[in-house]
Parts: sequence; structure tokens; C-alpha cells
Amino acid sequence: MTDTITRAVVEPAPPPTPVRRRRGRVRELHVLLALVVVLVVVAVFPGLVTWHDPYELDGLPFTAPNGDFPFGTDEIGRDLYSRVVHGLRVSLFSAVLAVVVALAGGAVIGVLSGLRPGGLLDRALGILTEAVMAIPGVLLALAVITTYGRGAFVAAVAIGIGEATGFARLIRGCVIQAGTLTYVEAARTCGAGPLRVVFRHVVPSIHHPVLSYTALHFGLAMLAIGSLSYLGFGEAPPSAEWGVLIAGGQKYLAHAWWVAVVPGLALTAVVVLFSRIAYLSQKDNR
Amino acid sequence: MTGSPSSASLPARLARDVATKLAHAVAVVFAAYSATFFLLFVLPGDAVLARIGTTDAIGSNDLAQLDLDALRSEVGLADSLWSQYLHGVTGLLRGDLGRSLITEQPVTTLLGEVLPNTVTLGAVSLAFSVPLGFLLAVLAVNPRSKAVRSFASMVPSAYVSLPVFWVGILFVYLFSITLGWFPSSGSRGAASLVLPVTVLSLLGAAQFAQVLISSLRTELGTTYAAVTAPAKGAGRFHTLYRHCLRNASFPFLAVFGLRVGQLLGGAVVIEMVFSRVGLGRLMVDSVKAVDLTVVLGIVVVLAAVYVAINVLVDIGYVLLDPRLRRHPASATRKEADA
Amino acid sequence: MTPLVWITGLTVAYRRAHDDVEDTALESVSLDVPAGQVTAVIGESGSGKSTLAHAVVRLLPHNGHIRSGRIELGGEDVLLRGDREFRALRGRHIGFVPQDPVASLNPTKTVGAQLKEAFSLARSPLSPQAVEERIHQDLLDVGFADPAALLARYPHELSGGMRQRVLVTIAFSQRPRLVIADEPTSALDVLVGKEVLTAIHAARVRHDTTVVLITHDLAVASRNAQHVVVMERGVVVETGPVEQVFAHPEHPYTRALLASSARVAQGRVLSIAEAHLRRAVQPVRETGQPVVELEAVSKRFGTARRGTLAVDGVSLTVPRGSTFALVGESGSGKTTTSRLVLGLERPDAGSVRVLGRSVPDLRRGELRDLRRRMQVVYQSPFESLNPRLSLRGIISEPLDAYRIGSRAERLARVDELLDLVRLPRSYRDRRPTELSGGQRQRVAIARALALRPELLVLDEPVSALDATVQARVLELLTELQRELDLTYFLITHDLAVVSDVAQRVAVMRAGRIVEHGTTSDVILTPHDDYTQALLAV
Repeated sequence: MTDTITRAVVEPAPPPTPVRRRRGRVRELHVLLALVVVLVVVAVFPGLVTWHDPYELDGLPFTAPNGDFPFGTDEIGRDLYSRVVHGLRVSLFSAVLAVVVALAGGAVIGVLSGLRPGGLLDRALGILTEAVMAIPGVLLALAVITTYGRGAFVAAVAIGIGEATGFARLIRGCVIQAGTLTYVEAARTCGAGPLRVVFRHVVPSIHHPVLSYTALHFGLAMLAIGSLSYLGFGEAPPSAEWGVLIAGGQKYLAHAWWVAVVPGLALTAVVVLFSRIAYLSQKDNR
Repeated sequence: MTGSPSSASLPARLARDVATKLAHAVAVVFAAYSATFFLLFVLPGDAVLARIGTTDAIGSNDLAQLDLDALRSEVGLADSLWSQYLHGVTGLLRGDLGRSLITEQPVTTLLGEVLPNTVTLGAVSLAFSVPLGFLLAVLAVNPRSKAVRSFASMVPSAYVSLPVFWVGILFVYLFSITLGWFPSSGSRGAASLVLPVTVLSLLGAAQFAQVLISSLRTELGTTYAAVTAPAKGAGRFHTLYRHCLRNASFPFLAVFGLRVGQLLGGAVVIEMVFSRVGLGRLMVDSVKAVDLTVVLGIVVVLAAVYVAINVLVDIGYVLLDPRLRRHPASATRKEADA
Repeated sequence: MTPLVWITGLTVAYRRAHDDVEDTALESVSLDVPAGQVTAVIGESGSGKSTLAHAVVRLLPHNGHIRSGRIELGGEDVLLRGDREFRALRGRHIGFVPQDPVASLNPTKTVGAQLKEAFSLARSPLSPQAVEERIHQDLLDVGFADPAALLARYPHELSGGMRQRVLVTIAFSQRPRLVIADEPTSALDVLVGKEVLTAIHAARVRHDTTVVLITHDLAVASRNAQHVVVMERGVVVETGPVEQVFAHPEHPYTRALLASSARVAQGRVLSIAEAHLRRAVQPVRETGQPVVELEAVSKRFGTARRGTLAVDGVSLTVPRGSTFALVGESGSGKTTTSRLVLGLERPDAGSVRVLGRSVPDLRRGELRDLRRRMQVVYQSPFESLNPRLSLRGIISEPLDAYRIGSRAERLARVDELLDLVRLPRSYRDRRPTELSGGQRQRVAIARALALRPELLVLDEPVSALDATVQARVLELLTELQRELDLTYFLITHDLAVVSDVAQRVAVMRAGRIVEHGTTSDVILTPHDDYTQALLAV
């Protein structure tokens, strides 16, 4: 028997996984996640990094960016930098709400329809999902706003409902695919019950694509909420939500470009941050 | 390899497929109508209250004195929900979307006035974005220079991170305010189309390119492209154009239908940026006025457009992809032995 | 006998992405390929034999590159050619038959278009008429009865063997001097693989082509090649004429490789029957009632009109304490049969009795109780183990699921099981990705044994493993059967495996059992044509 042990060990082990290749990506991912933490802190305590009140008329109207007003001032002399920083809270947290709604709704629908693909429930939910997909997200949100009234959080929930369809499709596909994995079937034939199979094998095997998709759609939700605010259905002025800021600055483009441009840059930067996180976490899964 | 006796001829199978897809499409439009109807007319609110709330015309003290019931019956909301729904559905079957609660004009007339504008904008943008998307995708995989490839593959993902309305505003600033080349607003003449079409077709191209790049990379990695074709003496260019581009278009086609819906949503926002007459303006005005029937009408029409495009895409898929056009000659279900 | 290809000091390395580290796949490989003959390159996975094939046609993956060496083709050092000049060699002077026939043809182009493309890419001087005639003749030569009908077909309408023969036709179409076939039969069933090798042989003889045959299968090498190159971990360990190397292997690795196959003796490959006779016959200990009884079982997939009968009236009996082998090629219904036994599929007709219980009639809880007594070992240990769990988590999964014993007891049992499958106890915290294929399969066996089952369903337990590893895993299974008094229900495509371990065998084809009996009877005196064909490979 000792003989067989040594023989078993002699079998060549596979080359070690290329750890170093992953390390670069993981480091970048960590830096970006740290940035997200900074953003959240700033969103909760905007006073930490600003020195003007976002609603006070501290400067002259349309002051160009300078040392005291890094992003300049708006049409009535409010500090644009302070307004952008304060606006982060609404933009960020309404996007969180949208993604939570989308993920929760999508997970329930996706898991229910993925458990018995082709079943009656799956077909019914499929038609429902497709019906919601057939309505462009912005229009669906507008329809919701028609009934519930305007506001960033109503807009966020509405956007979340629209995006839930994408999550539902993704999760359904993942659940179906996980069901065909040999090791999932092996667990079942070992006597593992359905709950055990789902939580020990299926969820860990699908959480990577779902997390990556969530990060991507977090950015898209911010864009959609910005669009709604821009159209006048999100936050109302004098809120500093970024869509509102851009809409407000549009009129003054000709002589004060920064009022509309800077909030747009901020929005883009945050969206790029999240889509980069999505990209990295997707590539990192093996 | 015996021919399967039950495999029907291509036209017969196609007809059956089309019939199934149409039935499914009708079910989806119906579901979209119903969902929106109940969202608008039931949950939990009351259109009249919402209307008061958003128009901001009346203070809360005056609210109590209003005869809400009278207001409701005035706009046709006093009937029971089900009878309203049945009324709506039968109207829908006849192609009648009801009348505006505000202007009393038929919804179809209102839509008929604005739809051509929006459709022109969407169709022209689409016509530009598909070739542009292919161009970007080819640039992202073909050139020898790694720098060119990574730059070309970065552009689409960067562009879709931009807020579309903000890009519109920047274009206005750059091309009409600063350079004065194109009008910044309005919906008359070809010149007014240039900027909105540019913004939208870039968005479409970026979205299409993202899909195409990943499917092209997959195709280039498969054995037939990576080994068989080069082993015959094919160069990179030949492999890409004669083999991969066509095969990579199939996943693209599958996504195309989905993206068209997003493009329509983008068109609504862009119409507002450029102050164009169109579906966007009508929608925004109706939402502000809580004109439920118009909102419902717009949603249904857009859902129908989306579904119709997807049916066409599905049929195109079957016609173009030989793997779907013909089933394997052998009807034996392969076991998962290998 | 002049060499057509002459390789000296060839070193190939793969660069890791985002990293400067390089893994050497070939380490100063030198060999020569005699003109007009077949040279087989043999080795197990990771030996670099495929890298060698791809390096010669310069089709390495994008992260692989040739670091040094010379590759001379007909006296010219082809490595001095630029990419564009080298491309002129492909197709015209070097043909290539890839490994996986399913992925190697463009799915959206007809077979005819892909054949003609070989001519246009090689700038063939033939007229279109002549091209068509030549394609027609070539297809007839590789065994297609009706070439005209074939040309209009798409790849998905062809079987794997047909696709591979199309690829052989493409490789030989420009009458190259050299054709490299990279594991041309490893993705195919044995009988189909034999047809493909026959096609290669026919084309080679007719056009006097030099062939390099990459293979892991010693029998294929000895039947088809005159010369052999043995590779191990990127290094050529031995070369020479086939008879000489097989009869008098000099390198220890070659000896180990040959010893792992029971079918090689005195420099030649024995038939399965001959190999069977050389083995000590294992006593059949059939005691008590049968463990598995199938009676006229049928299973259909799909609808009655369009579906197919995967299992068609199968009856079989597995006696306790023995190994019963169900043999068949892909699509024969053997896997479906095993799933019926496990209760993963319901039969449409007939009775399935396992350990005295009728499986289709069991309620969910009863089936779960029955599964404590029958466990499975799957084909691919790379897929059947959850890569995120440690070995301890994997092996104790059945114990956890049935809540057997305390934590400490389960831990002790895991150690016991690791001993049983001859793995060091220290491995319990490792993950499957840190183990080799053979070690992973041992883990899968340990998991299957955790509940002390009476019946093990072995679904192609060694077909994903290298030959030397296969032999050890089979040995382990035989030892365990003796120690633990197990009954095995073995699913396999390989009659050689059957001959090693099984007492009884049934041969399945297209859902039916065409022959069954004791292993010796079936292997030594087969009655069915199909069994005879399988044995003749």
C-alpha cells in the first residue's frame, strides 16, 4: 500500500495556475473598489471635501473655474464643485436602489424560471419579461412616474424594474447551465437536497457573472436616472442631482460651458469606473 | 446518416416557425399593454390625484373641496377597472387607442403626427450605425498593431459610458454654437437631422461594435479559423472576411433586436435635447399632464415596433444561418457520451 | 532514405498573458521525418506533441513562439521565411489534419465551398472544371459514395467521421509533400477512427505523401507508422523504427508507456483477444441476488413521432460482487441506460430494479435512501468535482448530505477514504485544480465510497485519463472491489478496459444489446458482426 501511495504522488501535477497574471488585474480591481469606497464616503459626508455651501450664492454668476471655485459657478453664483459633490449622493444612492430592485426582481424571476426550463411558469414569466423588455427603459420609467409622481427614487425603482428583465435572463441562463454541470449532478447523486445543491454549488458558480453584470448595470442605471432628471422627472431644482445640473447648464452653454460639461464629466467618470470594475471582475473569474 | 422521415420541407417549416413567432409576438404586445394598463390605471394611485400633484396647480387645502368623482367621470375613469380594460383591449384589436384625456384627440392621430419624425431619426441612425459598428469591430480585431486594436476596442465601451443627452449638449456647443455648422434645434430639413443622427448612430455603433468584437474574437479562436483556414494557406484578412465576419454576425443579429429598443429609448431623449417634434416630446408632455391614454398608446406602439423588429430578426436568422435552416440529417439524438 | 523534414534544436515557449514568464513547451527537439513514410509522434498529454505539430506549420497559438532551432523542409530552413512567404507553403506543400472535426469546418459554408477554397487559396493552376473533377475523385478515394450530394451539405449535417474525412481530403487536395495529422482520431469512436486512418493511408499511398501522425494511442501508432518518436514533457526521449522501439525500448519512459498498455508485447500490438488470454482470469464470485436487473427497458427522447429510441428493450442482470461492463460507442444508449439505473431518467417501458427496489416507482425520499447504497464515478474528473471546494469538502459531501456522524467523525472518515484511494492525508485541504487527472479521479472514487455503497456505477471512469494513469486507476478499482465487496456497473467504449476488469459484458448498439455473456466468451468468440468489428480494432 505504501507502494501505491508513492506511485500516486509521482503522477505529474498540472502546472500551477498563472497566479501572477491574475495578480495585476486583481490589484487594479482593488484600487477601483477602493475608489468606490471613497465615493461612498464622499457621498455620505460631502462636507469633508467641499468648502462652499451648494445652495448659497457664494460667488458671482458664471465665474470661470479658479482656485476657490474649482469648477466655476453657475448662473446664480453657486459653487459648481460643491454642487457636483453634493449631487453625488442622489445619483449614487438612487442607482443603488435601481440595482437592488433589478437584482432582487431578476433573481426571483430568473431562479423560478431556470429551475424548470420550458415549464408553464417559465413560459409565462418569459412572456412577461419580454413584454417589459419591449418597452424602452426610459419610457417604462416615464409610465411609472405618470402614476407615482416625479422624484429620483421613483425614477430609480422604475429603472430597476426595466433592468430586472436583463438580470432575469442572465440568472435564468446561469441556473440552467449550472444544472447541467457534472459536479452539480454529482452532488445530487450524492444525496444532496435541492437547497444544499443551490447554495453550495449553483450560487457560487453563478455569482461571478451576476456580480459583473450588476457592476455594469449600476453605471447604466446612473445614466438612465440622469436622463430622467434631465427630462425633468427626477429630482427637481434646486437639487444638485447631476442630470438636473446638466439640464440647468444647457441654456448657458454659449458663455459658460462648464456648468453643463463638468457634471457630465463626473457622471461619465463614475460610469466608466463601474464598467471597468465589471470588465475586470468578469475576466478574473478563472 | 439516414434522412429523418419527419423533417418537413423548408417552406413548410418556415411557415410553422413564423406562425409560432407571430403568436408569441401578439402575446408579448398584449402582455405589455396589460402590464402598462394596470400600472397606469390601478396602482395604487389615482390618475386624478397624480394629475393634481404634478401640475402643482392646486394647494393641499383646496384638495378637499374638489369633487374628485366629478373629475374622474369627466376623464372617463369612473367606470370599473375591468370595463375600462375590456374597452381598451377591444379598442386595441380595432386599432383604436382611445382619446387623449386632455385634448380629446384620438391617440392614433396624435401618434400619426409625430411618429414619422421619430421613425426617420431612428431609421437613419440605424442605417449609419450598423456599418460603423462593423468597421469599429474589424478595426478592433484585424490590424497587426496591438495599439490600434486595443484603442479600437476601447472606443465603443467608452462611448456607451457617456450620458447620451450630455453628448447631445456637447455636440450643440461644438457644432452649432461654436462652429455654427448645423442648427441646434428644430425638426425641419435634413440639416436638423445631422447632429441627432450623429449622436444616436455613434451610440448604436458602439453598442453593436461591443457585441461584434466579442463574437469576432470567439470566431477567430475557433479551430476552423485558427487552424483549418490558415492551414489551407489563408491569411488573416481572408480568414476574417471570408469566414469569421459572417459567422460573428449571427450573435450580433440576436442582439440587434434588443438594441433597437434601447436606441428608440435614446431617440426619445435625444429629441428632447434637440427640441425636435416627435414621440419624445409627446411622451414628456403627456407624462407631465398625466394623460394616461396617450402614455399607454405610446408604450404599446413602441412595444409593437420592438416586437415586430424582433420577429423579423428571428426570421432573418433562420434564413441566413444554415445550422437553423436545415436540421442534421441524422435524427439520432447524440448522447452526452463524448 | 532521405529525411523530408529535419528538425534540429527546436525550442518553443508559451508566453503567459500580462506577464513575462515563459513556459517551455518544447526543449531543443531534434528529429527527422523520412520521406514517403509515416512517422508517429507519441506521448501523453502535456508531452508537447501537438505543439510540435503546430510549430512545423507555424500555427502556434498567438502566445506561443519558436525560440530557437531549425526546421528544414526538403533542404530549406523554413524558419527563415517571413510569415507571408511561409503562408505559401501551407496547403501547397504542407497539409494539416486537425484534431477536432466538429470545430474544424466553418459551420455556415457548404462542404463544397470549403473544399474549393483550398484550391483558390493555393492558387491552383487547375481549371474550375478540373478542380471539380479532382474533388469528386478525391472524395471517392476517401470513401464517400456520393460526392456530388456531399458538396451541397453543411458540416452539421455530417457525422464526425465524415467531417474528418472531408478534412483529410482538404489536407491532401493540393498534393502536398507533407501532411501532419494532429490526433486525427482521438475525438472519434474507434470504428470511425479506423475509417479515417484508412482514408489517410489510401491518400498517402496514392500520392506518395510523407505523413506525421500525432497520437497518444500506441495501437494506432504501431498499426499505421513505420517510424516513431516518443515525447515526454517537451523532450524527445526516443526515436526509431516502430518495431525496434516497441520491442526494445531503451528509455525508461518508453518502457513505462509500453507497460501501461496490456496490448503491447514483444514489439507488436496484440489483438484484444490475445491480450485477454495473457491476463490471469479473475474468478467470478456471483453470490446472492442480482444487484441490478433491467427487464425490457425502453426510453425515448422527444415526441413519439420525431423522437428517438435511446434505449430499446434492454434486459440485463448484474450479479453481486462482480463487474458488469456495458460497452458501446457514442450514441449507443449506454449512458442513458446508466441514468435509468440511477433513477435520473424514467423508463417509458420495462422494469428497472436496483438492490431489490423498483427504481421508477420510488418516491423522492426512497430514491434518496437507495442512493446511499449506489454511487457514481463520472467520466471526467475535471468536471465532476466542484473546483471551489477543498478535497475534504468534496469527499464529505455525501456524509454532510445524509448527516452521518459528528464533525470529527466525518473528518476521520475523510482521512480514511484518502488512505483507501491511496492519496496522502495532507491533500485534504487542497483544491481539485491542484491535482492531476488521475488524482482527481481518485478523489471522485473516494467521494463515491464515503457512504459505503454496495453498487458503483462507473461511467467511463478512465477514458479522460492518459494511458499510464488509466492502468493505475483500474488497478485501484479492482483492489477496492476485492477489499470492500463492491459491485461495479461499468460503462465504457473500450473493450480493452473491459477485458482488464469485467466478468460479464454486454455490447450495445443503437439502443439495443447485440451481444452479452461472460467477458471471455464475448471477447474470444464474438457472434455479432458489430462486436467482431469492435474487437478487430
